[in-house]
Amino acid sequence: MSLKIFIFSWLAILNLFGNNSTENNLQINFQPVVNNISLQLNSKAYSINSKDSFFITTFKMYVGKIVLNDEESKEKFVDENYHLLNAENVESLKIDLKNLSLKKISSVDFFVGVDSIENTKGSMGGDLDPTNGMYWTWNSGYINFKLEGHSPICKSIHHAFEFHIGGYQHPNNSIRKIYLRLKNPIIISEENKLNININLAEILNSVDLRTNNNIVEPGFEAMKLADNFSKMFSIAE
Amino acid sequence: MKNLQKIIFGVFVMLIFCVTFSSFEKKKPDFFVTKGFPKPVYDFKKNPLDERKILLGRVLFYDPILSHDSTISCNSCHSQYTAFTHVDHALSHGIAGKVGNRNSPSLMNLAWAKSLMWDGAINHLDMQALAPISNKLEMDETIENVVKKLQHQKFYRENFYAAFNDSTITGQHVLQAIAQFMLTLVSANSKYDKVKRGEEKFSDNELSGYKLFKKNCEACHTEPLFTNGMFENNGLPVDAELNDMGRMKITKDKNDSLKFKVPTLRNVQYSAPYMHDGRFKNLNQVLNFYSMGLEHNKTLSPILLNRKIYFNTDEKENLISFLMTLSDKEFLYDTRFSYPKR
Ligand code: HEC
Ligand code: HEC
Repeated sequence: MSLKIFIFSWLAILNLFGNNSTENNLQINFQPVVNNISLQLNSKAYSINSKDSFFITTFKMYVGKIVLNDEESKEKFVDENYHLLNAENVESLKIDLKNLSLKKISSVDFFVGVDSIENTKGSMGGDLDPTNGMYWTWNSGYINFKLEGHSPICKSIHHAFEFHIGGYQHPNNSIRKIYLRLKNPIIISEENKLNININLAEILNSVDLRTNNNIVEPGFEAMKLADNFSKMFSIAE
Repeated sequence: MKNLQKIIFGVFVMLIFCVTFSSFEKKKPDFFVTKGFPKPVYDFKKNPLDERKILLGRVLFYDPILSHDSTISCNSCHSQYTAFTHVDHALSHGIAGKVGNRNSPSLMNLAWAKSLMWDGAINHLDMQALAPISNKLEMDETIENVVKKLQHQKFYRENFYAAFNDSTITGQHVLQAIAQFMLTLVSANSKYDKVKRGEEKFSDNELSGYKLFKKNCEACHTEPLFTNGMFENNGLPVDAELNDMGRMKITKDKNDSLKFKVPTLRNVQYSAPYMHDGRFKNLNQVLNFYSMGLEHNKTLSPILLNRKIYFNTDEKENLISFLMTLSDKEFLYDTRFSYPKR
């Protein structure tokens, strides 16, 4: 056994003593919605702009580098990880940030998508494991955002729509930064919650679903759609 | 009382730590960086080579379990005796006899590859295996299902545990293991290498051929890897049926039209047929093409535009005898790369 491991283990033990004071945690809860109604996979939904119905069958998205800000004191809390949100799995929509160093949160920012560094590192595990169905196999790169379903208005086979938005190389880097300001800042106590709505109707309304219902590779169309990502998010007060 | 519990717990944690780490010391293989070669592109720190991972990768490379109907392995299209390319097929053949769109390249010295595939579609060696596994014409499988199938086999559970200290198989580990095996496919012991090391001498013909090579080919097929790793248009007329635009498919940039990754010429003697679509059956045809078959289209490499290449019969013979000095027989018969005993 190396000296390093020995020292490290003792540090780990000592650390147990240091932790007697309570930690402050935050749970961010992402809530996929269609307008004001919470998303039900495979069931009928309507968007505001039209009487047309649609069904969403898959919704998955990467969120990464979450930063909590206290804009008054300029303090920050940074979570470097990437998280895969999957509408099929409620647990994946909850992100626990532990041991906050802040006293107050007045805004939050994060990325939708996986950045170019992570995209060229090779094989990764956990939420970035290629078995999550969020990695293109014919042209390396993560799918940042996946929305699939069908609507009678789509002029496509089985009336399907399919949006696999990704691409990390200039000029088609589809990662987008989201910034949300809290109307009522959170004063940190032991357990804190932040609910963020993701309104998928915003994305479906941003394209003409009748004809533009299949964007599955990096490029101009994917970039246009990604430009609408920020419209989806809002703090649920 | 609470503190006592913590101490006990702490000591326990430490014990587990020590035990796992001491029993899991890495078995470093005797690899590899070859004299005269540049620094590898592959970042070994993220996936440090280990004998057990290499062996696991080798078993996977030869196992048709990676394909949907268990008929096709990586080896089906990349066979050792032809420097890991597809024997005799211009376009590779995959599952249920389906014909692919491109010629399978030979596999060697992949630690130095900046990107993979003729058009650079794959950005990292770890991710390479995903492409054939999912390709409908090749193995027609998904990595999710491969992981499931492997998890069902005691052999793989044990060997993944031995290699990664984790018997739960993940996509990450499958890909890392296959990449490790491919990284060991180093060819650096041809006559050319021996001449460079001062162990052998070129014949007169080979030497004349080497001079022709330096003048006409070196700019793209750069020593010692015999590729500069870049995308170039070498003037190959487009095949109307395949209509393969090469690099442009990936970058969507007109300036990349008809550019393909410069292939290595090491072991070129064994890797016929040639070019991305395997249109040339032998090296003579290749040299005839460079002599007089170039198509002068918009993206033709300036190197070829500015140099009129013409070889007479003697020159062709000499150039080919030089190319033969890039053959590395040991690589073709190295038992570390062959079908593994399980
Ligand atoms: C059906 C035939 C087929 C099978 C099976 C196959 N390959 Fe390939 N391989 C090809 C073809 C064809 C290409 C080139 C494709 C292209 O450039 O678009 C290629 C390219 C590659 C390359 C890129 C080499 C370079 O220099 O760019 C690597 C590495 C590779 N294959 C490894 C593998 C591995 C690992 C497996 C098994 C998981 C595998 N192949 C299975 C046909 C196959
Ligand atoms: C401008 C760069 C460039 C120059 C100069 C060049 N090549 Fe190439 N070579 C390429 C590219 C690119 C390919 C792959 C083209 C394709 O498949 O579409 C290639 C393919 C080949 C192949 C086929 C290899 C295989 O495995 O399929 C051979 C052999 C070859 N070149 C030999 C030569 C020789 C000999 C010379 C000098 C007379 C030469 N090349 C000069 C860029 C170049």
